[in-house]
Amino acid sequence: MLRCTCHPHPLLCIIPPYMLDNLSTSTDAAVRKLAVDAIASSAEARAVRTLMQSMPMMAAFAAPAAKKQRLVYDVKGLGMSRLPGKLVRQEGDKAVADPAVNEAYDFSGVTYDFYMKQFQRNSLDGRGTTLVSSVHLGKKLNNAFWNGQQMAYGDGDGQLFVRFTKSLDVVGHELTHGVISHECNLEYQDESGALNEHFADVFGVLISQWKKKHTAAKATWLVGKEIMGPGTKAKALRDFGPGKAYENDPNLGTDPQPKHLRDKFVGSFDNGGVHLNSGIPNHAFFLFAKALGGSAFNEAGAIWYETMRKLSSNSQFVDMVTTTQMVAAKNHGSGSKQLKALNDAWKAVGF
Amino acid sequence: MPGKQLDSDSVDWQQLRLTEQGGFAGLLRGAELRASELDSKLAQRVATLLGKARAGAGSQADYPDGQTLSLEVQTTAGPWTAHFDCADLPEAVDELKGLLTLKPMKPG
Repeated sequence: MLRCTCHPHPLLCIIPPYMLDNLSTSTDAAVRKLAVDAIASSAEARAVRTLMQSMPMMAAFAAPAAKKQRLVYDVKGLGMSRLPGKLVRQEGDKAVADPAVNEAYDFSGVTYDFYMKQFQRNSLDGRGTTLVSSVHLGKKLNNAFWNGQQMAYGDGDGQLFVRFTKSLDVVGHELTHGVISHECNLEYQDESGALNEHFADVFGVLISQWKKKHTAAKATWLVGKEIMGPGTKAKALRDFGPGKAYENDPNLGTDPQPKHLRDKFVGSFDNGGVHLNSGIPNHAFFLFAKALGGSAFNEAGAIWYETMRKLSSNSQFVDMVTTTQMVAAKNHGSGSKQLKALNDAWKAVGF
Repeated sequence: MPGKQLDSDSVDWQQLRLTEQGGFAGLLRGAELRASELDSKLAQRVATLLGKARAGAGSQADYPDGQTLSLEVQTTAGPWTAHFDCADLPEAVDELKGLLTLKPMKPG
């Protein structure tokens, strides 16, 4: 039995592990609030940290008043089985010496703020779920991901990539996978998987543009620019624009993303090319946003957000096209410049 | 049981191919190694690592942006393949990967 001395309420003072498990999935708002209050008001942070390290999803409750709840853990170079790692920063804590910790904390906060202010969405699930991040996963891991419960970030090998927390659009991309999982939950295979990657890329770059106050005209439209290491001349990992992010790079080769439906990848690699074929709708979004002008995270972003919520797990590219058209017509009118720009963008990439 | 067992932790290998695919970057990179091109001491070390790798084989990274390392090995007894989640590589596979220089491959 785990004894917790952090809160006077008997429910949270002596908490056996099986009860913590039940609490973490409770539908009782009062129970969730008790748990969040216990964490927030704790006078014994060490006890809370110990508790949350042993039961990380204990903290994944709905925030009671639409506030950010962030937890950042350090895996210290160990593997998946050691997730989430040691808690090193939680909501309200001051910055620490480790930049990866601070970036994961700050950028997950920016992502939360973006979804709240632009779409009135309270975190990934719309119910204030805690944003859990783990940094320093694995040895020189060239990756970042959302595993269904939390974000995890590698440090990169120092040559091709540096730490994956360094880029706001990467953090926004990973957290958006969490949003998608709570909405249309697009199957991670073939066209539906490419749409999953597409939405993650779109909102990743929009979050970055929103934070920097960049217009569609001023934005770089690059994905992962800040994580590229000294061993490559790639300008980024992906480019929403007409160009390639890298060409004939000795370590990366040539950016394989198609920009037109006729060039769609049809092999089995990468779950049917989910990171490749996302380039087609990515480019359509770029053309649409540029045609509209202004800030892409406003009109264009709103149409894409509503579309993401309307699609289903097996939606295909054609469903994406027709749903954006339906949303644009509903929001702006069937004869609107927005719908015309959207139709032109889809036509330019082969639809 | 594919592959001749030289001892409990060793595989009689001829050729191996290691590929890394997926991840946030969506890259495909790989490298090949032939036993005949290595000195006997290094070839034996690889044989030992392969034995440990096969014993610790896991599964593909089955989540968005998951990255998988695949190991295809030709032995005198036939081929075998093993997959690993790059975020959870066994030490032997990590050491094996460190012996190779992964280069970009064309997706197929």
